[in-house]
Parts: sequence; structure tokens; C-alpha cells
Amino acid sequence: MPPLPHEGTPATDVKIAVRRLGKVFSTGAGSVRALEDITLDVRDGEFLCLLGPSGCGKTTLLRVMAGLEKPSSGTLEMRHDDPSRSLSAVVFQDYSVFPWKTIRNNVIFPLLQTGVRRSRARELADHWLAQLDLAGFEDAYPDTVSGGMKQRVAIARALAVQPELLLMDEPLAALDAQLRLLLQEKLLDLWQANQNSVVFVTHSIDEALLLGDRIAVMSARPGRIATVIDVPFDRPRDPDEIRASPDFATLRDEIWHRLRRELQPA
Amino acid sequence: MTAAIRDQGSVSSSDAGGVAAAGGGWRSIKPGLAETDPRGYARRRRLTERGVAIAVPVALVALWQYLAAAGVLESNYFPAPTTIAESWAELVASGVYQESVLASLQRIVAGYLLGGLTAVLLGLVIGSVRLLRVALEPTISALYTVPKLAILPLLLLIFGLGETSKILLVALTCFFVVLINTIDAVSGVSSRYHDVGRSCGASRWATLWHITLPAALPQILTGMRIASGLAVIVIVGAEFVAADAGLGFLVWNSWNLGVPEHMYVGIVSISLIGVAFGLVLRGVQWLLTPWNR
Ligand SMILES: Nc1ncnc2c1ncn2[C@@H]1O[C@H](COP(=O)(O)OP(=O)(O)OP(=O)(O)O)[C@@H](O)[C@H]1O
Ligand SMILES: [Mg+2]
Repeated sequence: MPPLPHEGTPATDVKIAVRRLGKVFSTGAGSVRALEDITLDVRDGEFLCLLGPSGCGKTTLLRVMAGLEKPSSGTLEMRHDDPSRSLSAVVFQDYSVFPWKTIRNNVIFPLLQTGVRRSRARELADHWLAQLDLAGFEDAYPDTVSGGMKQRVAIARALAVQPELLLMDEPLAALDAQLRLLLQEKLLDLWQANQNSVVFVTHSIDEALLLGDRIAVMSARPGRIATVIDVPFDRPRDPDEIRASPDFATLRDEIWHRLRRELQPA
Repeated sequence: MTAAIRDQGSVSSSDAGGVAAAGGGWRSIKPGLAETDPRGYARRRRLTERGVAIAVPVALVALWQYLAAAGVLESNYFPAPTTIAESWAELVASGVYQESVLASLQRIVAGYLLGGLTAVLLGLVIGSVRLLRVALEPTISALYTVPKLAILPLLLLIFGLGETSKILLVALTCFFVVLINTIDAVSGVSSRYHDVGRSCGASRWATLWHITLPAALPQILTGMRIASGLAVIVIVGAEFVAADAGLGFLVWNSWNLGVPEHMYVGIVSISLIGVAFGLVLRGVQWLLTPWNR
């Protein structure tokens, strides 16, 4: 095990401590270095956005956090505060909604795994589906609804668990611009009400600035943390006000140049 | 009102489906009958389709009857449908027919359920445990290719002429088809669905019941359908040589007795059983996979 570069045990307000984490995928053709030397803290109750060019390893990092992938080197530690509550829930990039379950039963499934009674799970499912504007579609099968709706089912499925940590992989990517704005506001509200930690992967600088407390910008493959930017806007945030503020434009330019450098290494 | 793709306000210069002389023109896309009268269209189409599905076999039988009556067909080999129907009625009256159908059906259903259900259970386990799958797959493939009728003598040697050998033959036939399809289906379940299960902390049992089984079910049912056809085929073969009742016996015995009409009664009944079996399985499929309806 490589020595930890910083503090030996993570600070108390840290939810996830990632230390010198690397991930190499070996495939038939050769090996891909997806992540290299990632050191990053996700703080308690923080909304952290992961931003980076396509293929830089955002999904991979999220999957390691979700316990779906093991690192090739380095460590990742997470604190589970309340054993009666789920540690994490994931919104997958490709939704991964079960086609054989109705939309309601898709949302119920993880709840049943955490020991919630069926009647209660059903109530919760309907509540969260309504929150995501899916009321009336509870009994439909996913393949009969649009891609954007499936994505919202995936979000409802993760939110309904009310985990300590929400891992979301481009959860708003398949939505049209208007709905995306609405859901960004809704996510902000929900997060401010529930105070869980969120790791939120996105391609959109605006979205990251609007939602995040901090933005971790990743470099092109092998993925590293290029820089972590503190977002200075106060909470509760008003999306319209933020978009109009001069800070917003400055930060946006800064991140954009940073990302551009990553895309053109020359 | 018709809907057509054209710029608002511009004037159409061409007639209904035509292309204007100068080479340009409007391609107009309008609702067809299926859109303007969807219910009527669907009903008419359903009636037409059912109609032809029934009319074609009826026409073939009528042609057969005509050719037999005209003496074109050798009546020793190809008796007229009416002759066959008459001997069918005779067989029913004497009770031989019911006995034969019942004997075959019992063997088919018992063997099918025994072999098919065992295969689904084993397939779910073998398909989900990689080591088991790797260890057993070559053996299973090798056994699958053995024509099951070829082991009938062995079964007869072990279990004698009774029902057991025939039921086991059907069971073995169905077992391997369903097993191979189930293993294939289970190991082919997309890992993204298992990722959802893992991220929710689903137990082994919950994963099997809520993810693996439903994801694999369509292909498992395909295997079950193929097996249903094979069950009918193999029982007839077994009854040819190793039975004193059943539709296969009826056909074989009519050759010995030189009664071709009975042979046809048996053949037609066998194929009807096959068709009915297939329909039942379609119903099962419809019930069990509502998301594919
Ligand atoms: N299971 C795997 N096997 C082999 N290589 C993989 C695997 N998963 C990811 N990779 C590789 O790791 C790299 C990072 O992939 P990842 O999916 O994490 O990127 P990403 O940042 O999420 O991209 P995007 O924004 O397009 O979703 C890619 O080069 C990819 O090819
Ligand atoms: Mg990704």
C-alpha cells in the first residue's frame, strides 16, 4: 500500500477520502489507465461536482465510490454515520431502469432491499415520482416512456432511498433545456432540505456552478484532479440571480479555459 | 383535414401524389386509412389475417378431397379427407382414440414439466455461478448434441418398457434445450442491472428473483417453446417402438395393420397437439412477461 500523502486518518468532516487512487482497466487489447493519483475529499453535506472531458474517468471514479469497482492502487474511505440509513445510492449514466418492472416497482425495489415495508415503500415511491413529475406513469413499463422520463425514474429511485451520499452520473443529460432548469432547481431544493452529500458528474459548466459547493475539474486520460474550484455563491441559491452575477461569468471563463487546456495538451 | 409537410403559406402546385413537370414538386405525407380509422382498420386487418390463416388449410384439404375423389391420388396411400374423418369417428366411438391421445399427452406433459422445470432451476444456478458454468458448459454441450432417441434403448434397458422410460426420454430432451437456453440467458444478463442490485445492497436471493430471473425470462421461455416441439417429436418416436398405446403407437400400428386412414388420424392429431402446446406456451409467455406485450 502506498503511503498516504496527507493526513493519515481523514478529518472528521470528510465523508469520502480518496487517496492516491488509480484505476487501470486491462482489456484484451492492452490496458487503459482510467484514473491516476486521484486525491480528493468529499465533505459532509457538500455538493461536489465532477467536471471533465469525455472519457476522463468520471464514471469510473463514481463507480469506485459506489463500491462497484475496486481501485488498482490507492485507497478510498467512506464514513457511514447512520446504519439505519443507506450509505449511498447511484443514478447511473445509462439510467439502468429495469424494463421488466413498472415505474413504481423500479422505485420500490431499492427501498425493499433496505428493509422498508412494502406499503410504506409504495407511498415513498409515489411521493418521489410525483416530485419528478411522473405522477400518472406509476404503472407504465419503462420502455413505453421517453428517455428523459426513464432518467427521471432513475433519479427518483435514488432519491427515494434518502441515502447519506448521492452519486449521480450526468443525471440530467437526457432532458430538454427547460426541464433541465426546472430539475436543477428541484435538486437544489431537495438537497438543501435533506442535507446529504452529493457527488454530481456533469458536462455542463453552468450546471456545476449552479449546483456545486465545489467543482473538481478532471484532466483528460489518465484522469487526475486538475483543480478544485470553490463556488462562492451563497445558499439558498436563486438560479436566475446566480446566472446574472458577474462572478458567474468569471468563474465560467476560468473553468472553460482550464478545460480547454485539458482538451488541447499542446 | 389532411396534414401535409409543406411550408406554411406556400401554394401547392402539384396534384395529389404527382411530381410537378419541372422536376420539383411536393411530396405530401397524409394520414392513411390506419390513422383516420384506427379501430376499423385494426379490426378489418385482424379479420383478414384470421380469415387467410383459416382459409389456406381449408383450401388445401378441399384440394386434397377433390384430387382423391377424382382418383388422381392413390387411395391406399392418400385416403380422402372424408374417409379419414369417418375412421376418426370410428376410433373415437371405440374409445381407442381418447386412450391414445391421453397416453401421449400424459407422457409429454409429465416429461416436459419434469425436464423443463429442473432445467430452469439448474440453469439459474449454473448461469449465475461462473465457476460452475465454466466447469459444466462443455459437458452440457456434448450431451445436448446426442440425439435423445438414441438413448431410448438404454432407458428401456434400465427402466423397462413402462412409462418411466418414455417420460424420462421426453424429460431429457426438454432438459438440455431449456438448460442451455437458461444458462445462456442468465450469463447474458447485462451487468448494468446487476450493478443496480449491488448498489442497493440486494441479497443473493433478491438479485435472483428481481433481476436475474426476469431479465433472463424471455430467452428461457424461448427455450421452453423449442422444447415443447421437441417433446412431441420425441414421444412419437418412442411410441413407435416401445409402447402399446399412444398416438405414435397408433400410427405405427396402422402400418402393421395396413390401415392408412388411422395413420392419418394419428399424424393430424400429433400436429394438432403440437399446435395447441405452442398456443398454451404463447399464453404463458404473455402472462409472465407483461413488459413485452
Ligand atoms: N469496464 C471497462 N473496461 C475497460 N475500459 C474501461 C471500462 N470502463 C471504463 N473504461 C475506460 O476508462 C476510461 C474512462 O471511462 P469513464 O466511463 O470513466 O469516462 P467518463 O469520464 O465517464 O466519460 P463520459 O463523460 O463520456 O461518460 C475510458 O477510456 C474507458 O474506455
Ligand atoms: Mg461517464
